[in-house]
Amino acid sequence: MAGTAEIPPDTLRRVEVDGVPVCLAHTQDGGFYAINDVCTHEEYSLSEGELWEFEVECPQHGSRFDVRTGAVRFLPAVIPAQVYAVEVVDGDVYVNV
Amino acid sequence: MAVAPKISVGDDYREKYGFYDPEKFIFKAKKGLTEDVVREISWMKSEPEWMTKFRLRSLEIFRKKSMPNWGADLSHIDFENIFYFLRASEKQGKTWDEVPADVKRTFDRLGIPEAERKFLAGVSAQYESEVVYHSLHKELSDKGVIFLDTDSGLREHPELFKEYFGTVIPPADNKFSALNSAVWSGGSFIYVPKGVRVDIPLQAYFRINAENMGQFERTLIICDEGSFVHYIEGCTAPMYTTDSLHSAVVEIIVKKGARCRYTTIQNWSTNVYNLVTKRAVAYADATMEWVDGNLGSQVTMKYPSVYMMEPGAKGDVLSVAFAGKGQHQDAGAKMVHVAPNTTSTITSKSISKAGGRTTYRGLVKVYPQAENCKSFVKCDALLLDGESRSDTYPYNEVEAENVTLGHEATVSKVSDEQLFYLMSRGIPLAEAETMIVNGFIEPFTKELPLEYAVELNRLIQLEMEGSVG
Amino acid sequence: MPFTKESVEEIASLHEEPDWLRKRRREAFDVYERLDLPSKIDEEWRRVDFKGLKLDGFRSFEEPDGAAPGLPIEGAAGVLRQRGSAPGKVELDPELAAKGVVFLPLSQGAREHRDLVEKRLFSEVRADRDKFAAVHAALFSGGTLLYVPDFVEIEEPLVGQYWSSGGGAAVLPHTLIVAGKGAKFNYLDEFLSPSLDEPALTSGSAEIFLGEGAQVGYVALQKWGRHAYQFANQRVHVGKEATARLFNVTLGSRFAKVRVEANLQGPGGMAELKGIYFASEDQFFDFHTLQDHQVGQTTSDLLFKGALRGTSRTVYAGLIRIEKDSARSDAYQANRNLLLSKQAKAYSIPMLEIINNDVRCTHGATVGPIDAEHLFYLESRGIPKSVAQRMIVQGFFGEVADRIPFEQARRLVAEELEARLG
Repeated sequence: MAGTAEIPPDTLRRVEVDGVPVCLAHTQDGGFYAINDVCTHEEYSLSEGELWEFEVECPQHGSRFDVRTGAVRFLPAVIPAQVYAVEVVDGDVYVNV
Repeated sequence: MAVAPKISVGDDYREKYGFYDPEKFIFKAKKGLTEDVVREISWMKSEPEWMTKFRLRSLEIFRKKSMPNWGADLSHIDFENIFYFLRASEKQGKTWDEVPADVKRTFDRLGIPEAERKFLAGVSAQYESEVVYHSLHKELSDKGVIFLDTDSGLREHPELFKEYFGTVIPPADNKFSALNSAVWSGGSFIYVPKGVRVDIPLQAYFRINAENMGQFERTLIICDEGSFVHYIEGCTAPMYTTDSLHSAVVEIIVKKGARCRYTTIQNWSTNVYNLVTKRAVAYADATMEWVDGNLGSQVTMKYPSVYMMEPGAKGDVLSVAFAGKGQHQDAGAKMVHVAPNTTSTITSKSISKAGGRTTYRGLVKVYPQAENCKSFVKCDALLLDGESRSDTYPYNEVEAENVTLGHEATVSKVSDEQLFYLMSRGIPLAEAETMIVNGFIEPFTKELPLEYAVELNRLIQLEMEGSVG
Repeated sequence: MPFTKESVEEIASLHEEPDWLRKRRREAFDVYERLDLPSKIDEEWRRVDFKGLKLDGFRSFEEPDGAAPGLPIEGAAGVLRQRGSAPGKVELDPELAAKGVVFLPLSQGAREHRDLVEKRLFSEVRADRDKFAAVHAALFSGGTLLYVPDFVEIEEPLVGQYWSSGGGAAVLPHTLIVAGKGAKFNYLDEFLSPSLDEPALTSGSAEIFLGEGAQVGYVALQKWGRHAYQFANQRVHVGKEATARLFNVTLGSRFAKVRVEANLQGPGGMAELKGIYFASEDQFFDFHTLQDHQVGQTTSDLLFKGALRGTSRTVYAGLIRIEKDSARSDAYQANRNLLLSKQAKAYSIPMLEIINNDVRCTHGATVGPIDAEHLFYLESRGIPKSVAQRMIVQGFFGEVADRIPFEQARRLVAEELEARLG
C-alpha cells in the first residue's frame, strides 16, 4: 500500500485498501501497524491525529486507540477500533483487510 | 516547595510578576491566557515535565476548539480578562468588607458560623476543621486510602496519577476540558484500595487548601475493586467569588463491584459561569451515582456522565436545579451503555422562578452490543411564575436489541389543589409554596447528609422569599 | 444534471402559471442556489443518513408513463389524480361545486383563485427553511388547491393521489387546503410509485389553514418506491376554536425526512398530530414535529408510533413550544418505538420549551422490544410465535391507528400494515 520510506517513524498515513479507510502507523520502534481510520466515536479521521508511542489519538475529541490491538485507551470513544495484519516486504507495506 | 528553582527570566520579571520574595512564594499572575501563564503555573507547582507539556498542549487544543454551538449563552465570557492562577496569599488578601451585602445576609439567615463564613466568602483560606481533617486523614491512610489535593496527588503518587489522569476526559473532549487541562489547580485526588469501604463522606473542604474551591479544579477518583466511597463537593451556603469563570473537570474510575457516590451542591454567586465536565467509567457490576444540585451561578452547563463499560454496571443521576432571576441552569446527564445488562436511571427536578431558566439536557446512548439494557429517565419541572422558562432536551439513541428505554417529563406550576389544601389549614401562601417546593425536591434532599439537607431546605425558603441574590 | 433556472421556467409554462407564481418559483430557486446543504453540525441534521444522495443527479420533472393505480378508497366526494409532473385531473361531486367548494390542480387554482392562493402558498412551509424546501418551492410539480367555504360540511373524504412511475426525476407535489369558518371535512393524500433502480427526489408537502371553528382531518399516506428520497413539510395553521387532526403514515421510500407541525394561532384551537411508521430493510426515516402554542388556551396532542425491522434506522425529534403569553395551554407528546430486529436503530428526542407556567405539558418516549411476557402469554395459548408477534405489532399500532380521522383511511392503513406484517 505504501513504501516504508514514505512514512517516517512516529507518523501516520491514511491509505485506502479495497475501499476501506486505513490509518497506517509507523511506530518509534520501527514497526508498522494498520487500524481502521474512522474513529468509533464520531467518525473523524484518526490519521489526522497524533501518534503517542503505540497509541493513535483522534484529532477531534482526544480518544486514543492502541494501534496494535485496537483497544480504547482514552474516552470518549468506547468501541475498539478494527486492526489489520501488516506485512513489510522489500520496503513495501502490505495491509490485509 | 520552599525555594524556587532557578530559571532564566527577563530583567523585568520582578516588576512584571511581583515576584520579590522566593521564600514566601508570593506570585502575582497577570490576566489572560498565554503560554507564559501556563508555564508559570506549572513552574510554581514544581511539576514534572510531562505535566508542563500536557498543559501547553491543552492550551493549543483550547485555542483550536470552538465554543459549543448549543446550550446556554456564553458569548459574554472574556477569556482575556480572567486570572488563571492565584496563590493562596492573594486570596487571603480580600477583606470581609468587600463581600457583597446580599451574600452576608444569606450567611446570617442560614446561621453559618463565623469562621466558615469567611472561608466561604473567600476571605480566609483556612477552615477550622483542621483537627477533624487530621484525625480523618490518619484513619484513612491506615486503610491505604489516599485523599489529597490533586497537586499533592501528582507529587506523592506520580505513577498512579499518570495511569489515570486525562484518560476519562482528555483535553480535546471539549473546549472547557481543554481550558481546565491547561490551567488546572486544586481539586481532590482519591484512591480507595480493593475492598475498602470509606464509611464517612469525604468532603473537599475538610482539606486545608486554599485552592480546593478553585476556579479550575481537577478531581480524579479511583475506586478499586469492591470498594466504596462517597465524596461531597461544595456546600449549600453561597460561595462568593470574584472569579467569573469556574471550569472544573472530574474524572472517576469505578472498578469491578465498586460503588462511588459523588454529591455536588453548587451554589456559586450569581456572577459565575460554571462550565464543568464530569464523567465516570463503571466496570463490571460497579455502581456510579451522581447526586448533583445546582443552585447558584449565572450560567451552569453540566452533564455528569456514566459510561457503563462492562456487564452489570449501573449508573444513577439524581439532580436538582434552581434558577432565579438572571440565572440559566443548563444541566442534565449522560448515560452511555457500552456493555450488555447495564442499567441507568436519571431523575431530574428543576425549579424556575423570577425569570430564571432551567434546561434539562440529557443523552441515553445504547451501543449495538449492549443488549438487555434498561434505562429510565424522569424529568419534572416546576415553573413558579409566568416570567420563567423550562426546557427539556432528552436525546435517546438505541442501537441494540432487547433494550427497554423510557423517558417521561412534566412541566407544571404549583398545583392549585395543593395550595388550597395547605392554605385551608391556616398556612400562609408563601409558606405553603415553600412547603410544596421542598416536597418537590425531597427525593434529592433525602439523599444528602443531614446537615446539607437542613441547609438546603433553609436555602430554598430564602430563595422563595426572594431574599437571596 | 443539476436543477436550472430554465427548468423553473419550463415547469411554470407546462402548468400555464400566472406571472406572480412564476416569479415566486424564481425567488425560491435563488434561495435554493444560495443555501448550502444542511451540515452535520446542525442538530436537526446530525443524525441524518443521506445514503449517498446527490442533489444534482435528478431531472427537474417527470413525463407521465405507465399505468396509473386504482384509487385507495371508494366513494370519495372528490378526487384529484396526478401522474409525474403533468397537471392533475379532478373529479368533484357537482353538489359541492355548487356550494362553492374549490378543488383544482394547484396551478389552475393559482390562476383562478389568486386571492385564496397568493397569500398562503409557501407562507407556512417557507422556501428558505432549508435547501430541500427551496427546491420544492422552485420546482414543485403541481399539487392541489382545496377550498371549503364557511360552514360547508362534506360527508365523504376527498382524495389526492400522486403517482410517479419514472426513476431519476424530482416529483414534488404540494397540497394547499383552506377551510372556511366552521367547515368540516376529511382529506387523504396518497403518494406512491413502484420501486425503481434510479433514485428519485420526492416530497409531499402540505399547508393547511383552518378558519374559526373548522374541523379538518388530513391523512398523508406515503408509499413512494424504495428508490425515493423524500423531503416533506406538513404544517397546519389552526385558528380560533378550530380542530385539526393530522395523521402521517410513512411506509415507503428509501429515505424520508419529514416535518409535521402545528401552528396554534387561535384560542380554543386544538391540534392532534399522530403518526405511524414502519421501517424495514435499510430504510431511514427522520421525523421532526412541532407543537407551537403561539397563543393561550390551545391544546395539542401528539403520538408517533414506529416499528423497525432489518437494518432500518429512525429518528423522532419533537418539540412542544409554549410561548410566553400562551397561558392555559395543554400539550402532550409521545413517541413509541418497537424494535423488531437486532440491527435496527431508533433515536427518540422529545423536547419541551416552556415559557409560561400556567400550562400542563407531559411527554414521553419509549424504545423497546416485543414484551417477552406478552409473547409468552400468547404462545402459551397455542398461538405460533410468528402469529403472536404479528398480533403484538398490530396491537401496538392499534392504539394510534384508532385515531385516524375517518373510517376509509383507517381500513386502508390497516390493510397496508397487514400486507407488511404478513
